[in-house]
Amino acid sequence: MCLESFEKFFKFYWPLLVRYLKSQASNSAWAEDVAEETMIAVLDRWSALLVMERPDSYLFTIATRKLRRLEAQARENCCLGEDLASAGADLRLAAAADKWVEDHHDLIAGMRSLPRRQCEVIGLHYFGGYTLAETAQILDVQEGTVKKHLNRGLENLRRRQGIATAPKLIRRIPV
Amino acid sequence: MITEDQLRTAAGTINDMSEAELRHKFRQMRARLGGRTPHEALRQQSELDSLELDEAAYRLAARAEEAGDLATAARWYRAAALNDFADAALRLAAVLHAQAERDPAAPDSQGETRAELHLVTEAARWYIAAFAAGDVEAEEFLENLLSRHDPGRSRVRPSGDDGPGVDSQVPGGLGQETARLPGPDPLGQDGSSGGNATALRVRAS
Repeated sequence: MCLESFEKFFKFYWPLLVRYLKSQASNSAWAEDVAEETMIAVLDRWSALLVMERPDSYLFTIATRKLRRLEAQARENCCLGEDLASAGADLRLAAAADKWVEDHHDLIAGMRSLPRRQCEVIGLHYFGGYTLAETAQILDVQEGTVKKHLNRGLENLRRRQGIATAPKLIRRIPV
Repeated sequence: MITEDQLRTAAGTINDMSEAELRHKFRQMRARLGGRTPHEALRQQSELDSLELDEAAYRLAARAEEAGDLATAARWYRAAALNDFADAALRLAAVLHAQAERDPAAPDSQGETRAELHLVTEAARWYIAAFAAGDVEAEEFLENLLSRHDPGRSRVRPSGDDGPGVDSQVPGGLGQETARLPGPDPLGQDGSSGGNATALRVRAS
Protein backbone atom coordinates (compact mmCIF):
# COMPACT_ATOMS: atom_id res chain seq x y z
CA MET A 1 0.00 0.00 0.00
CA CYS A 2 1.41 3.40 -0.96
CA LEU A 3 0.74 5.09 2.34
CA GLU A 4 2.88 8.05 1.42
CA SER A 5 0.79 8.89 -1.63
CA PHE A 6 -2.39 8.38 0.37
CA GLU A 7 -1.13 10.78 3.03
CA LYS A 8 -0.67 13.46 0.38
CA PHE A 9 -4.15 12.72 -0.95
CA PHE A 10 -5.57 12.88 2.58
CA LYS A 11 -3.92 16.18 3.39
CA PHE A 12 -5.14 17.74 0.19
CA TYR A 13 -8.72 16.48 0.28
CA TRP A 14 -9.52 16.24 3.99
CA PRO A 15 -10.33 19.93 4.50
CA LEU A 16 -12.35 20.05 1.30
CA LEU A 17 -14.26 16.86 2.06
CA VAL A 18 -15.09 17.57 5.68
CA ARG A 19 -16.17 21.15 4.95
CA TYR A 20 -18.21 20.09 1.95
CA LEU A 21 -19.97 17.61 4.23
CA LYS A 22 -20.44 20.22 6.96
CA SER A 23 -22.17 22.43 4.42
CA GLN A 24 -24.54 19.55 3.60
CA ALA A 25 -25.19 17.82 6.88
CA SER A 26 -27.70 18.67 9.56
CA ASN A 27 -25.20 17.45 12.12
CA SER A 28 -21.54 18.45 11.92
CA ALA A 29 -20.41 15.47 14.00
CA TRP A 30 -21.96 13.18 11.39
CA ALA A 31 -20.12 15.12 8.70
CA GLU A 32 -16.82 14.41 10.47
CA ASP A 33 -17.71 10.74 10.94
CA VAL A 34 -18.73 10.29 7.32
CA ALA A 35 -15.57 12.05 6.14
CA GLU A 36 -13.39 9.81 8.29
CA GLU A 37 -15.18 6.60 7.28
CA THR A 38 -14.96 7.61 3.64
CA MET A 39 -11.23 8.24 3.92
CA ILE A 40 -10.84 4.81 5.52
CA ALA A 41 -12.80 3.28 2.63
CA VAL A 42 -10.51 5.06 0.20
CA LEU A 43 -7.43 3.84 2.03
CA ASP A 44 -8.79 0.28 1.97
CA ARG A 45 -8.97 0.50 -1.83
CA TRP A 46 -6.06 2.82 -2.33
CA SER A 47 -3.93 0.64 -4.56
CA ALA A 48 -6.87 0.12 -6.91
CA LEU A 49 -7.91 3.76 -6.80
CA LEU A 50 -4.42 4.91 -7.66
CA VAL A 51 -4.98 3.94 -11.28
CA MET A 52 -8.17 5.99 -11.46
CA GLU A 53 -8.12 9.20 -13.38
CA ARG A 54 -9.97 11.00 -10.56
CA PRO A 55 -9.88 9.09 -7.25
CA ASP A 56 -11.34 12.20 -5.65
CA SER A 57 -14.62 11.69 -7.50
CA TYR A 58 -14.86 8.28 -5.81
CA LEU A 59 -14.24 10.04 -2.49
CA PHE A 60 -17.08 12.51 -3.03
CA THR A 61 -19.45 9.90 -4.45
CA ILE A 62 -19.04 7.65 -1.44
CA ALA A 63 -19.18 10.50 1.06
CA THR A 64 -22.32 11.98 -0.47
CA ARG A 65 -24.07 8.62 -0.56
CA LYS A 66 -23.05 7.75 2.98
CA LEU A 67 -24.36 11.03 4.31
CA ARG A 68 -27.60 10.72 2.34
CA ARG A 69 -28.16 7.23 3.61
CA LEU A 70 -27.41 8.16 7.20
CA GLU A 71 -29.76 11.13 7.08
CA ALA A 72 -32.46 9.13 5.28
CA GLN A 73 -32.36 6.57 8.09
CA ALA A 74 -32.41 9.30 10.72
CA ARG A 75 -35.32 10.97 8.95
CA GLU A 76 -37.18 7.68 8.84
CA ASN A 77 -36.64 7.30 12.58
CA CYS A 78 -37.51 10.95 13.22
CA CYS A 79 -34.17 11.66 14.88
CA LEU A 80 -32.71 14.11 12.40
CA GLY A 81 -32.31 17.47 14.11
CA GLU A 82 -33.50 19.78 11.36
CA ASP A 83 -35.53 22.13 13.50
CA LEU A 84 -34.37 25.70 13.87
CA ALA A 85 -32.96 25.30 17.38
CA SER A 86 -30.96 22.16 16.55
CA ALA A 87 -29.70 23.61 13.27
CA GLY A 88 -28.59 26.83 14.93
CA ALA A 89 -26.92 25.03 17.82
CA ASP A 90 -25.09 22.64 15.52
CA LEU A 91 -23.86 25.45 13.31
CA ARG A 92 -22.58 27.35 16.34
CA LEU A 93 -20.68 24.27 17.46
CA ALA A 94 -19.29 23.76 13.97
CA ALA A 95 -18.22 27.41 13.82
CA ALA A 96 -16.49 27.13 17.19
CA ALA A 97 -14.54 24.11 15.99
CA ASP A 98 -13.67 25.36 12.51
CA LYS A 99 -12.61 28.87 11.55
CA TRP A 100 -13.69 28.36 7.95
CA VAL A 101 -17.26 27.60 9.07
CA GLU A 102 -17.17 30.62 11.37
CA ASP A 103 -15.95 32.87 8.53
CA HIS A 104 -18.70 31.66 6.22
CA HIS A 105 -21.45 31.13 8.77
CA ASP A 106 -24.21 32.80 6.73
CA LEU A 107 -23.30 30.92 3.63
CA ILE A 108 -23.24 27.55 5.38
CA ALA A 109 -26.54 28.32 7.10
CA GLY A 110 -28.00 29.27 3.73
CA MET A 111 -26.74 26.12 2.08
CA ARG A 112 -28.08 23.93 4.85
CA SER A 113 -31.49 25.48 4.40
CA LEU A 114 -31.62 24.39 0.75
CA PRO A 115 -33.26 21.19 -0.42
CA ARG A 116 -30.66 18.42 -0.40
CA ARG A 117 -30.05 18.07 -4.14
CA GLN A 118 -29.57 21.79 -4.63
CA CYS A 119 -27.16 21.89 -1.72
CA GLU A 120 -25.19 18.92 -3.07
CA VAL A 121 -24.87 20.41 -6.53
CA ILE A 122 -23.72 23.77 -5.21
CA GLY A 123 -21.25 22.14 -2.84
CA LEU A 124 -19.71 19.91 -5.48
CA HIS A 125 -19.62 22.57 -8.18
CA TYR A 126 -18.34 25.53 -6.16
CA PHE A 127 -16.44 23.90 -3.30
CA GLY A 128 -15.30 20.73 -5.03
CA GLY A 129 -14.60 22.53 -8.29
CA TYR A 130 -16.34 19.86 -10.35
CA THR A 131 -17.83 20.67 -13.72
CA LEU A 132 -21.54 20.12 -14.18
CA ALA A 133 -20.81 16.88 -16.04
CA GLU A 134 -18.56 15.63 -13.24
CA THR A 135 -21.14 16.66 -10.65
CA ALA A 136 -23.77 14.74 -12.59
CA GLN A 137 -21.51 11.70 -12.56
CA ILE A 138 -20.93 11.91 -8.81
CA LEU A 139 -24.64 12.34 -8.06
CA ASP A 140 -25.70 9.81 -10.68
CA VAL A 141 -28.13 12.11 -12.40
CA GLN A 142 -28.24 13.73 -15.81
CA GLU A 143 -26.36 16.93 -16.48
CA GLY A 144 -29.62 18.75 -17.19
CA THR A 145 -30.85 17.83 -13.73
CA VAL A 146 -27.66 19.24 -12.21
CA LYS A 147 -28.15 22.53 -14.08
CA LYS A 148 -31.72 22.72 -12.87
CA HIS A 149 -30.74 22.13 -9.24
CA LEU A 150 -27.85 24.58 -9.51
CA ASN A 151 -30.03 27.39 -10.86
CA ARG A 152 -32.75 26.78 -8.30
CA GLY A 153 -30.22 26.57 -5.49
CA LEU A 154 -28.50 29.80 -6.46
CA GLU A 155 -31.84 31.53 -6.80
CA ASN A 156 -32.87 30.30 -3.35
CA LEU A 157 -29.59 31.55 -1.88
CA ARG A 158 -30.03 34.95 -3.54
CA ARG A 159 -33.49 35.24 -2.05
CA ARG A 160 -32.27 34.29 1.40
CA GLN A 161 -32.69 37.01 4.00
CA GLY A 162 -30.64 37.50 7.12
CA ILE A 163 -28.72 35.10 9.27
CA ALA A 164 -31.40 33.49 11.35
CA THR A 165 -33.60 32.15 8.58
CA ALA A 166 -35.09 28.84 9.63
CA PRO A 167 -34.20 25.78 7.64
CA LYS A 168 -37.03 25.29 5.21
CA LEU A 169 -39.75 23.00 6.35
CA ILE A 170 -39.45 20.92 3.23
CA ARG A 171 -36.18 19.45 4.46
CA ARG A 172 -37.96 18.17 7.51
CA ILE A 173 -40.67 16.19 5.82
CA PRO A 174 -39.93 12.58 6.76
CA VAL A 175 -39.44 10.14 3.93
CA MET B 1 -28.84 37.50 0.12
CA ILE B 2 -26.02 35.11 -0.71
CA THR B 3 -24.18 35.59 -3.96
CA GLU B 4 -21.98 33.46 -6.17
CA ASP B 5 -19.07 35.68 -5.13
CA GLN B 6 -19.52 34.50 -1.54
CA LEU B 7 -19.50 30.91 -2.74
CA ARG B 8 -16.30 31.51 -4.68
CA THR B 9 -14.68 33.27 -1.72
CA ALA B 10 -15.54 30.36 0.55
CA ALA B 11 -14.26 27.92 -2.06
CA GLY B 12 -11.01 29.86 -2.26
CA THR B 13 -10.21 29.20 1.40
CA ILE B 14 -11.83 25.81 1.88
CA ASN B 15 -8.47 24.03 1.78
CA ASP B 16 -6.93 26.23 4.45
CA MET B 17 -6.06 24.03 7.40
CA SER B 18 -2.88 24.02 9.43
CA GLU B 19 -0.33 21.31 8.84
CA ALA B 20 -0.51 20.41 12.54
CA GLU B 21 -4.26 19.87 12.35
CA LEU B 22 -3.94 17.80 9.19
CA ARG B 23 -1.24 15.64 10.79
CA HIS B 24 -3.45 15.20 13.85
CA LYS B 25 -6.42 14.16 11.72
CA PHE B 26 -4.31 11.76 9.74
CA ARG B 27 -2.93 10.15 12.89
CA GLN B 28 -6.44 9.95 14.30
CA MET B 29 -7.69 8.19 11.18
CA ARG B 30 -4.78 5.76 11.18
CA ALA B 31 -5.39 5.00 14.85
CA ARG B 32 -9.03 4.28 14.08
CA LEU B 33 -7.96 2.09 11.19
CA GLY B 34 -5.40 0.29 13.35
CA GLY B 35 -7.91 -0.33 16.12
CA ARG B 36 -10.46 -1.73 13.73
CA THR B 37 -11.56 -5.26 14.53
CA PRO B 38 -12.01 -7.74 11.67
CA HIS B 39 -15.73 -7.56 12.36
CA GLU B 40 -15.75 -3.80 11.96
CA ALA B 41 -13.69 -4.02 8.78
CA LEU B 42 -16.23 -6.46 7.34
CA ARG B 43 -19.11 -4.26 8.40
CA GLN B 44 -17.54 -1.27 6.67
CA GLN B 45 -16.90 -3.31 3.55
CA SER B 46 -20.46 -4.58 3.41
CA GLU B 47 -21.77 -1.07 3.92
CA LEU B 48 -19.65 0.10 1.01
CA ASP B 49 -20.92 -2.76 -1.12
CA SER B 50 -24.48 -1.92 -0.23
CA LEU B 51 -23.97 1.60 -1.57
CA GLU B 52 -23.37 -0.02 -4.92
CA LEU B 53 -26.53 -2.10 -4.46
CA ASP B 54 -28.58 1.10 -4.36
CA GLU B 55 -27.22 1.93 -7.76
CA ALA B 56 -27.88 -1.59 -9.04
CA ALA B 57 -31.45 -1.43 -7.74
CA TYR B 58 -31.96 1.87 -9.54
CA ARG B 59 -30.67 0.42 -12.83
CA LEU B 60 -32.90 -2.64 -12.52
CA ALA B 61 -35.87 -0.40 -11.83
CA ALA B 62 -35.12 1.77 -14.84
CA ARG B 63 -34.90 -1.28 -17.08
CA ALA B 64 -38.17 -2.67 -15.75
CA GLU B 65 -39.82 0.73 -16.22
CA GLU B 66 -38.65 0.86 -19.81
CA ALA B 67 -40.01 -2.63 -20.35
CA GLY B 68 -43.36 -1.52 -18.93
CA ASP B 69 -43.11 -3.76 -15.87
CA LEU B 70 -44.25 -1.16 -13.39
CA ALA B 71 -44.59 -3.49 -10.39
CA THR B 72 -40.97 -4.62 -10.70
CA ALA B 73 -39.85 -1.06 -11.35
CA ALA B 74 -41.62 0.10 -8.20
CA ARG B 75 -40.01 -2.65 -6.14
CA TRP B 76 -36.46 -1.71 -7.18
CA TYR B 77 -37.01 2.04 -7.14
CA ARG B 78 -38.31 1.65 -3.60
CA ALA B 79 -35.08 -0.08 -2.57
CA ALA B 80 -33.06 2.81 -3.98
CA ALA B 81 -35.39 5.53 -2.75
CA LEU B 82 -35.26 4.29 0.85
CA ASN B 83 -31.59 5.23 0.82
CA ASP B 84 -32.23 8.54 -0.94
CA PHE B 85 -30.43 7.41 -4.09
CA ALA B 86 -30.41 9.90 -6.98
CA ASP B 87 -33.97 10.69 -8.15
CA ALA B 88 -35.33 7.28 -7.18
CA ALA B 89 -38.03 8.87 -5.00
CA LEU B 90 -39.43 10.88 -7.91
CA ARG B 91 -39.21 7.89 -10.25
CA LEU B 92 -40.91 5.62 -7.72
CA ALA B 93 -43.72 8.12 -7.23
CA ALA B 94 -44.16 8.42 -10.99
CA VAL B 95 -44.29 4.64 -11.42
CA LEU B 96 -46.83 4.24 -8.62
CA HIS B 97 -48.83 7.10 -10.08
CA ALA B 98 -48.75 5.40 -13.47
CA GLN B 99 -49.87 2.13 -11.89
CA ALA B 100 -52.78 3.88 -10.22
CA GLU B 101 -53.77 5.46 -13.52
CA ARG B 102 -53.31 2.28 -15.48
CA ASP B 103 -55.55 0.23 -13.22
CA PRO B 104 -58.22 2.60 -11.94
CA ALA B 105 -60.65 0.94 -9.63
CA ALA B 106 -64.16 0.38 -10.69
CA PRO B 107 -66.35 2.64 -8.55
CA ASP B 108 -68.30 -0.34 -7.22
CA SER B 109 -65.29 -2.48 -6.38
CA GLN B 110 -64.20 -1.94 -2.81
CA GLY B 111 -61.13 -4.18 -2.96
CA GLU B 112 -59.82 -2.54 -6.08
CA THR B 113 -60.47 0.89 -4.64
CA ARG B 114 -58.37 -0.04 -1.64
CA ALA B 115 -55.52 -1.16 -3.91
CA GLU B 116 -55.73 2.07 -5.88
CA LEU B 117 -55.82 4.08 -2.69
CA HIS B 118 -52.72 2.28 -1.49
CA LEU B 119 -50.88 3.14 -4.73
CA VAL B 120 -52.02 6.76 -4.59
CA THR B 121 -51.04 7.10 -0.93
CA GLU B 122 -47.59 5.71 -1.52
CA ALA B 123 -47.10 7.76 -4.68
CA ALA B 124 -48.06 10.89 -2.73
CA ARG B 125 -45.60 10.02 0.01
CA TRP B 126 -42.75 9.67 -2.48
CA TYR B 127 -43.70 12.82 -4.39
CA ILE B 128 -43.41 14.66 -1.08
CA ALA B 129 -40.03 13.04 -0.43
CA ALA B 130 -38.85 14.01 -3.92
CA PHE B 131 -40.08 17.57 -3.42
CA ALA B 132 -38.25 17.75 -0.10
CA ALA B 133 -35.07 16.61 -1.80
CA GLY B 134 -35.36 19.42 -4.35
CA ASP B 135 -37.38 18.02 -7.25
CA VAL B 136 -39.89 20.85 -7.30
CA GLU B 137 -41.84 19.45 -10.24
CA ALA B 138 -43.02 16.74 -7.84
CA GLU B 139 -45.44 19.28 -6.39
CA GLU B 140 -47.30 19.62 -9.66
CA PHE B 141 -47.39 15.86 -10.17
CA LEU B 142 -48.70 15.45 -6.63
CA GLU B 143 -51.47 17.96 -7.19
CA ASN B 144 -52.39 16.18 -10.37
CA LEU B 145 -52.38 12.82 -8.59
CA LEU B 146 -54.53 14.05 -5.73
CA SER B 147 -56.97 15.89 -7.95
CA ARG B 148 -57.56 12.77 -10.01
CA HIS B 149 -57.79 10.34 -7.13
CA ASP B 150 -59.56 12.36 -4.49
CA PRO B 151 -62.40 10.04 -3.52
CA GLY B 152 -64.58 13.07 -2.94
CA ARG B 153 -64.35 14.15 -6.54
CA SER B 154 -66.16 12.75 -9.50
CA ARG B 155 -63.77 10.67 -11.54
CA VAL B 156 -62.93 11.05 -15.17
CA ARG B 157 -63.64 7.55 -16.29
CA PRO B 158 -62.31 6.18 -19.52
CA SER B 159 -64.85 5.51 -22.18
CA GLY B 160 -64.92 1.93 -23.43
CA ASP B 161 -61.77 -0.17 -23.13
CA ASP B 162 -59.30 2.43 -24.22
CA GLY B 163 -57.53 2.57 -20.90
CA PRO B 164 -57.70 5.27 -18.33
CA GLY B 165 -57.33 8.05 -20.85
CA VAL B 166 -55.23 10.13 -18.51
CA ASP B 167 -51.82 9.45 -19.91
CA SER B 168 -51.00 13.05 -20.52
CA GLN B 169 -51.16 13.74 -16.82
CA VAL B 170 -48.96 10.91 -15.64
CA PRO B 171 -45.25 11.56 -15.41
CA GLY B 172 -42.72 8.97 -16.23
CA GLY B 173 -43.67 6.93 -19.16
CA LEU B 174 -47.31 6.98 -20.07
CA GLY B 175 -47.87 10.23 -21.86
CA GLN B 176 -46.84 13.76 -22.66
CA GLU B 177 -45.51 14.45 -19.20
CA THR B 178 -42.73 11.96 -19.80
CA ALA B 179 -40.75 14.64 -21.53
CA ARG B 180 -40.79 16.74 -18.41
CA LEU B 181 -39.28 14.04 -16.25
CA PRO B 182 -35.89 13.07 -17.66
CA GLY B 183 -35.79 9.40 -18.46
CA PRO B 184 -33.77 7.06 -16.32
CA ASP B 185 -30.50 5.77 -17.65
CA PRO B 186 -30.84 2.04 -17.11
CA LEU B 187 -27.46 1.10 -18.45
CA GLY B 188 -25.58 4.09 -17.21
CA GLN B 189 -24.43 4.74 -20.74
CA ASP B 190 -25.83 8.18 -21.23
CA GLY B 191 -22.83 10.27 -22.00
CA SER B 192 -24.44 13.41 -20.71
CA SER B 193 -25.10 12.03 -17.30
CA GLY B 194 -22.16 9.80 -16.83
CA GLY B 195 -24.93 7.71 -15.42
CA ASN B 196 -23.59 4.85 -13.55
CA ALA B 197 -21.50 6.75 -11.04
CA THR B 198 -18.37 5.66 -12.74
CA ALA B 199 -16.62 6.95 -9.70
CA LEU B 200 -17.84 3.85 -7.92
CA ARG B 201 -15.98 1.66 -10.29
CA VAL B 202 -12.29 1.53 -10.29
CA ARG B 203 -11.48 2.70 -13.75
CA ALA B 204 -8.17 2.63 -15.51
CA SER B 205 -6.98 6.06 -16.52
